[in-house]
Amino acid sequence: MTDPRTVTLADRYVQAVVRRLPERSRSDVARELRALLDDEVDARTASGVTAKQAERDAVESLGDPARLAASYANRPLHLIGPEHFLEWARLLRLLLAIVLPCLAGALILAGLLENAAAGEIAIETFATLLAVAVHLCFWVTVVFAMIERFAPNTRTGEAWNADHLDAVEPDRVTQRSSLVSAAVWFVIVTTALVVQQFAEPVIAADGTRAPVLDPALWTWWLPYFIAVSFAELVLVFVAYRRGTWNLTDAVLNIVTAGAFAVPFVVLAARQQLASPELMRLIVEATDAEVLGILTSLVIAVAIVAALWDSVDGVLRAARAYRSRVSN
Amino acid sequence: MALEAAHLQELRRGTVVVASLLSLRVPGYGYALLEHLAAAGIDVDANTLYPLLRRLETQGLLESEWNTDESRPRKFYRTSPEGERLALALLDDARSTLDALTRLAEGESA
Repeated sequence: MTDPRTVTLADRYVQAVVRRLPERSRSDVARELRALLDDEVDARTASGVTAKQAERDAVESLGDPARLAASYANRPLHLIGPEHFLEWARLLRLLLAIVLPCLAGALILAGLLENAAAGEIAIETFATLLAVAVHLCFWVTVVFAMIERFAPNTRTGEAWNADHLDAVEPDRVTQRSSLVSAAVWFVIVTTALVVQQFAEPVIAADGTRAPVLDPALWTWWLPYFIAVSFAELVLVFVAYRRGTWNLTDAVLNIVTAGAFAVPFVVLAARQQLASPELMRLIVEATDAEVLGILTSLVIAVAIVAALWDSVDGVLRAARAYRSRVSN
Repeated sequence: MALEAAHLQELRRGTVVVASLLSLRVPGYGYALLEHLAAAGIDVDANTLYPLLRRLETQGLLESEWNTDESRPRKFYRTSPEGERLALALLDDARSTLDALTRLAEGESA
């Protein structure tokens, strides 16, 4: 052991650098660095600086020992470098886009089957999704940081070439995503309709259970809504098979959006949508005014969604038309 | 001026390697090389140069030897034949780049 009183600033600096280096290069770097610092100190004292100040200046001129050690060991000073960053970002986006929606669907379904309250399901789903998202980001990043450090010259992905550009025309790409979203939406709506009927998630104070929607709607309106949703799905599917989205599709899209939204809004306005038990529950828990606000909110959402869907269809037709003209 | 400094650094990156390899055809140690380069007009920080010398050594472009004749043992580096060949090739490239830049500059003023 060295006597702590004789340990100089330069000694401590050298020590701070080499303890961050692999064992085998430590003594060699320490010896060299020691001599380099001594040279620096000599040059400074020769120009008239006190020995103490010269040592301090010499050490400070080399900067943060951790940075110098990283430079000696050829270690990166970033978590994920340009070599791997894009693969990291792509993988993370893909994983999140697949895992989170699937998980959300499964959690909601499980909650409904267990007859949990809506608020409870929402909180539990949100908390689990957040935890899973954080875990996904963390572990993927850890793996890539490891690759960056221990296999710096491996490529994580195939080298890019022109074949990696989307094989289908851009119009087709947006259509595929709208086909997928239409299909997913249809499955969610029909599942939710059936589940709310059988799980009877509305629990009154006396413990009797009821569905969310008025069961009387099953005689006509709920099958009608399912049929309209299915018609919209068929429309998107036919357009996808054809490969273009034209003005006729846009018009039919507006018709289906209206066929869904108009009866929906009328039913909501007449308060024939929710089951009597649910409405009673809301009024008992709060007051009649809240029921009115909720009704207006549901109506507003339905109108905005229908308008959005219609405008989107028209814009898509316009885009497809423009790209046909420009080709 | 931060922008100018960043571009200057970008432009000079790599020239330190060439300068070190050319200079160390005559064996030298870290601090002496730093002084020598500064005198020659190559501006480089000590904490950039010292680790660089080790990297060039691992790449086989420099050879090293401890000199313990004097009271202060120093690690002397000398450019290997491979290092010299590379340095001359890089110098050649730098020259033709400079020529091209000069032509561009002159073409602009003409």
